[in-house]
Amino acid sequence: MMRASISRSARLCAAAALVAVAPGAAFAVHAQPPTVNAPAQTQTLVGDLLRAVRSSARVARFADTLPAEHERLQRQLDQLSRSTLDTLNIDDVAQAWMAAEGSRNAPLSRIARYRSGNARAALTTSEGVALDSLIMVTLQYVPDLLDARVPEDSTDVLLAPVRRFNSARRVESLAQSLEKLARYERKYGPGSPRLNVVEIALNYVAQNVPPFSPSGDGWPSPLELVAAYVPQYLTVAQGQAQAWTVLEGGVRVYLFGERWGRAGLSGVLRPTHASLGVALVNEQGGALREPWRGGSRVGGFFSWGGAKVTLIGGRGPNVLITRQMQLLPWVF
Amino acid sequence: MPFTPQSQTWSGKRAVLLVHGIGNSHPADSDATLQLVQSVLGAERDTVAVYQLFYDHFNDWMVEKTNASALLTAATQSLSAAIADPELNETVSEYIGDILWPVLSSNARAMVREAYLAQLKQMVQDGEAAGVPVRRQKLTIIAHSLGCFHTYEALQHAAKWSTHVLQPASHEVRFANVILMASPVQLIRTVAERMGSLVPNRRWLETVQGDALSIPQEQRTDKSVVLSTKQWISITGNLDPVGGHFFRSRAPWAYMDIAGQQSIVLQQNPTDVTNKAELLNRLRSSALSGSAPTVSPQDPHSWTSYITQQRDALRTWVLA
Repeated sequence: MMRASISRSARLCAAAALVAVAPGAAFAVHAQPPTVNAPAQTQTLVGDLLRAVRSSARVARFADTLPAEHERLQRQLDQLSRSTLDTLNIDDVAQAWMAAEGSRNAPLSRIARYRSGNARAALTTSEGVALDSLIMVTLQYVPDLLDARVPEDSTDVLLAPVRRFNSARRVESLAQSLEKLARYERKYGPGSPRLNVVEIALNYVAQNVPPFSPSGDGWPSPLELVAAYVPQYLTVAQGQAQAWTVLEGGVRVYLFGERWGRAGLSGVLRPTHASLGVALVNEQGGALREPWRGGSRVGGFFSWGGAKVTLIGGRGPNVLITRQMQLLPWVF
Repeated sequence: MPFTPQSQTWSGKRAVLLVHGIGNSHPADSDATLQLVQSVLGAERDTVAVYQLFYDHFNDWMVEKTNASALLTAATQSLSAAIADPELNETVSEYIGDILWPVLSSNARAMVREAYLAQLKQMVQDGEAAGVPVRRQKLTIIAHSLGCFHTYEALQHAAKWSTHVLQPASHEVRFANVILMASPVQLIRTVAERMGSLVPNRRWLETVQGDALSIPQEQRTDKSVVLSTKQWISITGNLDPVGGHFFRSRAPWAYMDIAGQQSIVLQQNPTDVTNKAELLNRLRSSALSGSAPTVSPQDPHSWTSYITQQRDALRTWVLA
């Protein structure tokens, strides 16, 4: 333990000394603990990150080795010269960046402002893009150059604040992956509505249409097409309770919010899905009659979780109720 | 049951992810594989964190929701006719049926890919938590059969989408080894190409993108390319149809041959009798005992057989 501690101190001293001899090495003055080895609670600021980039680029002689890329790096640094940026917490900015789900051109500034609740401290759009590019360019080239010039431990200490940003982003990214999977489970997992053969075919084709297909980076669509022949509706007609058959066509929307789809009464009030669409019944009403024969009556259906209501217009409007269920696999 | 990626405490710089394939992707099937890999690592086993990825339940969800087993059977039969190859027998069709599922459903594909990426992120995070910077982590993926397809999809996706923070250059997540055993990736590419527009959401199916299969990579700002792995290794057997071989003959439409890959094709035997001397021994024993000679058939697609046959090489790659 003692030995490990000495070794770590020695690495830190070596890195600090290395940076101190680099011309204009601001990092030496503001040197952060090697957060890469430290628990997550250590705070790293954007200012630390910018100093780390400058210092590591100097030590790596980035300007001499890859002048064009160094110029690119310098342009990003110039855009990040506003002093108030230095006090932004890297973890907050990283969280904000990742909150722009699925976007490769994340509007970092907007999200940073949203997360921090401090418009003055937040990044502008150009600053957000610059920070993203700065980290990308730094990690694409500088580690190789540093490793060729200094011991690996020193490279790691120098780049720790930059890597901290990516680590924080990865934590957020993992949370997003788990959220995607939770949404898939709501849509396809145990307890989700089963599809009949027509719905399978329709939704198979619909996978190619953006509102119904998963997004490029894997977010499931909340939509599903509904086309069902439902023989188990109940209504009161001519003073008697009757079973009616309804043909439904519409769309089911899965409710992915965190507070939706829980067990018990809460799940009834906030179910996992709702649906809406057009309903068709036979002119005479009744059970197991072909809704499309003769003068069909048209209405609309709406479901909220398992409960479903259909309102049929025409002579003597009828209200029909049922529960979402599949009596026969593939059929209805 | 929400998916939870495996998390482990690292005691070294190395980690291995085992990605199961057809017929061995349930936790109950995996103990033997895990123990085998640990035995391959020998005395170093405690310094390597070994993770496993299970994804069968995602396919089960889809089958349950759509009652799709009959649909898959029909698709399998139609494929047997579409791929006019006399060597494509019933067994191969069954394998293809298992492989088809992620091709036919973009949602099933996306689910498994996301679980895969979540597991990779957790691995990298575990390494960082143990004080190993991402660049110093020695990560190895060992995948088998359909697991190779999911590996290909996940790594290509990770290399392209910065939102996963798993790119080889920008995020320093560069694997030491990606070892694919009995990979059906080329087979799936061929099948998907023949199915044409029947494959939903093709633009997000990495296996059919480009002129040929390729090692996942990221392009840097100066247009140079960084591969997602230092070694891309393909191991298959000359009797394994999923790996692109039919009765010792390589089928180019089914064999994964990616530029830059290290290729190993094992000579396999249909039975456990591997040479003439052994056959004679068994016949003699049989004659002496008066019983039938004992000859057991060998599964050319067995993951444990691949690992056992390549145990020395595997150990070298993982511990390098």
